[in-house]
Amino acid sequence: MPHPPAPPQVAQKFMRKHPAWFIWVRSPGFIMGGFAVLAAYAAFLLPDPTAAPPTWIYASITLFIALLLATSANIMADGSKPETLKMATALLLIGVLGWLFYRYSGAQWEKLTEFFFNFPKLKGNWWILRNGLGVTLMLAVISAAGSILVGLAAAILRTYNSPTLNLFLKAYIDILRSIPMIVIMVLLFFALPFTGISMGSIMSTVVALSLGYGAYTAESFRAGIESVHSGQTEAARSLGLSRWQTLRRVILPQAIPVVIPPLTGNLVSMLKDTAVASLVAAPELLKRARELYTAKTNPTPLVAAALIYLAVLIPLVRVVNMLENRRKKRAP
Amino acid sequence: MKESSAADKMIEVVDLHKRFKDLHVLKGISTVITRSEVVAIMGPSGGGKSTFLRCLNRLEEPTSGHIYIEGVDIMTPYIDINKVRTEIGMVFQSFNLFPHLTAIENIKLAPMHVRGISDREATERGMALLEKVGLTGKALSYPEQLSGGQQQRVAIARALAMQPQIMFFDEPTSALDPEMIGEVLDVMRTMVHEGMTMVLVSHEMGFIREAADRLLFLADGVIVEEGPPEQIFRDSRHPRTQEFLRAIL
Repeated sequence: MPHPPAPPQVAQKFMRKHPAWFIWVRSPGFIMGGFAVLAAYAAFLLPDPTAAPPTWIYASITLFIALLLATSANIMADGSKPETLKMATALLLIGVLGWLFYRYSGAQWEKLTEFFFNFPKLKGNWWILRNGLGVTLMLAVISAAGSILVGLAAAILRTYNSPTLNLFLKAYIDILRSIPMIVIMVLLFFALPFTGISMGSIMSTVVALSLGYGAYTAESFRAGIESVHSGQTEAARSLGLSRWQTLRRVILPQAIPVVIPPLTGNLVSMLKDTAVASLVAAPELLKRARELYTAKTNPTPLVAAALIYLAVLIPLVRVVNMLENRRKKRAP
Repeated sequence: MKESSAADKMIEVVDLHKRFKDLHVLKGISTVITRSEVVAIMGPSGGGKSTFLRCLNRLEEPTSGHIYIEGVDIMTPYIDINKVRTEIGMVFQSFNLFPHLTAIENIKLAPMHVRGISDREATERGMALLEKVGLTGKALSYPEQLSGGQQQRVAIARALAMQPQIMFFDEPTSALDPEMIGEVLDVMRTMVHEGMTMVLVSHEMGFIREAADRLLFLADGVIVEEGPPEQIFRDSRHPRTQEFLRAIL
C-alpha cells in the first residue's frame, strides 16, 4: 500500500481512494518487472543498426522509448517514492537515451572529435586564449565601471523630475536599449571615424558597452530609488537636508542593496557581450579563438573558448542567484 | 492671544490656497500661531489637515498665499527652505525613521550634515535626547527592532535634535497600537511644559483638551471653527463640527 491506513476519525468522504489496479501499478514489484522487460528488450529485441531495415529500427526504438518513458513517469509522478530513487531514474533515463542516440544516430563520432574536440592541436597555443581572456575581463571591468557611472548619473538626474531633462534621458535609455549591442559597436567603430572621431577597437567597445549597459543600469537604479518610500524623502527634507544630502545619506543607502542583484545580472550579460567586440577587432577571447581557428583550420579553439566562457560565467551566475535569494530572504 | 505683539508671532498664515490639479484642497486659510502656543487641528479626512501642515514647511508647495515664520515670508524665492525647515521639527504618522540607520544615527544625521557639528557632540546630544524620550538602551537598535511607540519616540528625538523653534505633529499616534499611544503622548506633554510651539493634527481628544491652547476645526479646505478645545467640544457652533464630533464620540 502506498499510504498508511487512515485513522478512523477521518471522515469517509475525505479519504483518498485509489483503484486496485493503480496501487498494483505503483508497487515495487510491478516497477522491477517493468525494468526487467526493458532490459530484455534492449538485449534481444533492439535491432542491429547496420543490418536491420530502417522502418523496423524506427518502430522498435519508438516502442522502446515509449515503454522507458512510461516506466520512468510512473516513478516520477509518485509522491510517496523517495527523491533519491527519482534522481536515479532520471539519470538512468538520460543514460539510456544517450546510448540509443550514440548507437543509432549514424553520427561520425571520430570526425566530430577530430574537428571540434581536437585539444592536442591547441598545444602551445593556450597562451593566446589566455591573453584573449585577459582582454575580455579587462573590457568587462572597465565597461562595468563605465556603465554604473552612466546609469547612476542618469538615474540621479531623473530624480529631478525636470520634463526637459527627462525627455533626453528617456530618449537615451529607450534608444540605447532598443539597438542591438552589435549595431552600437559597429556604428562607433566604423561610422564614427567619418565624422572625425576615431576610437580604437578597445575604446569603442568600452564606450559601446558603457553606454548600452548604462541604459539598463539607469533603469535598475531608478527602480531602486523608486522603491524607497516617499516618506523617507519627506522626513529627510523636513530635517533640513538638501536634495543631494537626502539622496546621498538616505535614499541611495537604501536603494543600492535593492539594485545589486539586477545590476550583477546586467554585468554578467555584459561580460558575455564583450564577445561582440571580436567584430571590431578587439583582441578579446572570441577574436583570438577565431584567429586560432583560421590558423589551425580547425574549430576546436571555438569550443575551447566556449568552455572558458562557461568556466568564468557559471560561478558569476551562481553569485547573482545567491544575491537574489539573500535579497528575497531579507525583504519583509 | 490674538493681541500678542508682533515679535511673539511664530507662524502667520495669510490666505493659503493649495490645489492639486482640479482638487481645491485648501481654500484660503489664515491664522496666527504665537510663541509657545499649542494648536490642535481636527477635521474629517480629506479636509486638508495634513496638507495644511505640510504646506507650512513647504513639503507641499502652496499654490498661493503667504506664510511667515518668525516674521519672514518663506514663500519668496530667495529663501533657503532648508534653513527654514531646520527651525521646524516634524513628526509623521508612519514615523519615517531611516531603516538603514540605528536610533542614534537617525538622530545624529541632520545635526552632523546640516548643522555641521562633530560626531562626538552630536552623539552626546543624541544620547541626551534618547534619555529624554526614555530610550537610552535603544541607541544602537535599528528601527525594525523597535515597537511602534519606540519608533515614534525616536522620531520625536530626531526632530528635536535640530533644536527647532516649532514642532509639527501629523497624526503622531494614529498608526500606533492603543497601548503605545500613552508613551508618545507623555513625551509630547513634556514638550508642551517646556514651552514648545506646537501644531498638532490629531484626534486624541483627551490630549487636545488637556494640552492645546486652541483648536482649529478644518473641513472642506477652510477653518470652519476655532477656539479653546474645551469650548468647542462642549458646545460647537457650526453644524459641520457638531456632526463630526457626534460621529467620533
